[in-house]
Amino acid sequence: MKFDPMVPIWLQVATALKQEIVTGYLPPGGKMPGGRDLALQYGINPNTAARIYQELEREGLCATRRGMGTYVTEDTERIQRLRTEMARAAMDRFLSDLRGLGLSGAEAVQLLETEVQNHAEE
Amino acid sequence: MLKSEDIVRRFGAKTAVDHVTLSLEAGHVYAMLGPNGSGKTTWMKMAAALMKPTEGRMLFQGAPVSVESRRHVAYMSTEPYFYSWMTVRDAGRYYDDFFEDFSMSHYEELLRDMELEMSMKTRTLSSGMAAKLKIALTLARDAQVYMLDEPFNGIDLLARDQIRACILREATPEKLLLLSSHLVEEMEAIADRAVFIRQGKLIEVCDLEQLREQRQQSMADRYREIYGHAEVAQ
Amino acid sequence: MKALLKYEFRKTWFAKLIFLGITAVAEIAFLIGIALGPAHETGERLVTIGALVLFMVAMFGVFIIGVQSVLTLHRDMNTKQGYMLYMTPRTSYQILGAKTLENGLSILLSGAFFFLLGFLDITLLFSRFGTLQQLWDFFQDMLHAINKEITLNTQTILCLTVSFLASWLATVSMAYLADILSSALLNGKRFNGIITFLIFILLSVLLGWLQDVLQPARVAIDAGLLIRGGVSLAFSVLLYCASAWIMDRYLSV
Repeated sequence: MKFDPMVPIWLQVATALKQEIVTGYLPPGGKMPGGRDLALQYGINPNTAARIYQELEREGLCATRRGMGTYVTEDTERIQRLRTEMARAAMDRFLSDLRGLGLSGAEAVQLLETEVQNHAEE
Repeated sequence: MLKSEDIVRRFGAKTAVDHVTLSLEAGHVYAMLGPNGSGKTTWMKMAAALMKPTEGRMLFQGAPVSVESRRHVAYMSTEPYFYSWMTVRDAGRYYDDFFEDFSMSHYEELLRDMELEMSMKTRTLSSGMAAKLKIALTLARDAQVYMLDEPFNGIDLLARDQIRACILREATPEKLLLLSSHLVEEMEAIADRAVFIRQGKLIEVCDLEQLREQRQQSMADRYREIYGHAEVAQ
Repeated sequence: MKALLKYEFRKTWFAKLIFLGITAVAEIAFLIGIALGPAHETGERLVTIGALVLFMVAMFGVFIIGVQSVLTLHRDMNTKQGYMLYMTPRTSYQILGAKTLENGLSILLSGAFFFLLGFLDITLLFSRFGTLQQLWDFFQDMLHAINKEITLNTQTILCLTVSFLASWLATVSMAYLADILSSALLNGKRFNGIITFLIFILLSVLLGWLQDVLQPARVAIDAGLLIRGGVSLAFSVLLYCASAWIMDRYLSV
């Protein structure tokens, strides 16, 4: 994974993990890599890796069972909510980009619909 | 774990390290930064008990560093230093003879990672391979402190990932790692703290994630800010 | 200490192996010559050449072992190779001690080896070449005529050898100290080389003076030689302590 060194690294890895949870690559109740393994896997400092789990736990996305490791939450509703949060965030970025190009909300929706159709035809 | 108290080192009229008080804790990977000649190597050599300070004290776990502390402090110098008759195996045996914490099996693993052979002659190694050998020898020790002076020097882009992985494997809560490199970007993700030194003086010690969160700055950005564009290393 | 000694030996074994090889070849030539006997022309020639080479190797060997040891120390202090020693958890006293011990043992053992070999070879030579024994006796008588005290027997030669080896060891120790002083304190200063050399000369003069002062006025030749050897050895120990102390305080890689 290539990092943007100006953005907190824990945030970048946490986002990547959230994506894995949302897509089911890390299934509900599934075991997550240990802190050290996560550090080695992403090539990041172990303290940063620990911070990521703290953050994900705080958000209720995973839980650490003493002596067992960290597991993805079994609360599928929470995962569903995460998906919505992430989609919203992506949407925000999308809309603010278009606004930056001077497009109105209605124009943006129209453009989006056309693009979705184009994608479907491909 | 490693601490310098108002330490000074002079070479004749030149002051290489100028009243540096610095305390490094276990469980962290520190990046020591500064342009060439800013005193990083001199500070490390004093911490490795290879050089005596002109003034001040260098402490390892509360006691002044000495021959004794070398048992627990692994230092890797920038330059290769092997005897010309040595093979990679001989170099390992040498460490095995002198350091109780050296593990031959760990050494073998590291050599595999670094794609080095036991039978290679140290004299004929390319500079990149010699650099890898130094790292393998140093990390094969189960020390409490590892100080690597320019571990990425001479190592090509592809092998740097390997080196970073090997370094990270040693980064446990009980250990202290101190890396110096002018390849600042190579250390962004593996270090969690940075020590900035300029002209022998300590400028600051900062937490890298905090730097990114609070100032939206990378370690390289901070480096540029401190040393100015003229001095930014290649 | 064992590990340090092992690697000090490892640094110098090659030269020693070469000397051992030459010694073996010369000794074989000598023995073949002895076996052929005095009547045989080739035999006589082999004995002469063999003996000559053996004598040269004995002198040069002991000399070069010392010189090589000084050169190794110089390299260990002035090149990056020094890390190999100074990064280890060993004190300057141990590091220099291993060097001194390795060198001292090498000099004394090779001295003893060549003395024994010479003794055996000469005994063998006299038993086969009777005329040489007569020549030797004549030489002895002549010496005795010059000075009543001198009788060149095995004991005197042994004392002479011991005294020579000890003073050579002291010389090497002086070179150590001079070199360490120059690396640790004078490095980069002007006239570094000349000052180092002067220190060496000064130490030699000091040793000579000490030997003269400490030797009692009326003493047998053998005892006198042994006293001089003893002074050399004691002086070497002092030099070692001073060198290690300087190394410990002032030397850095």
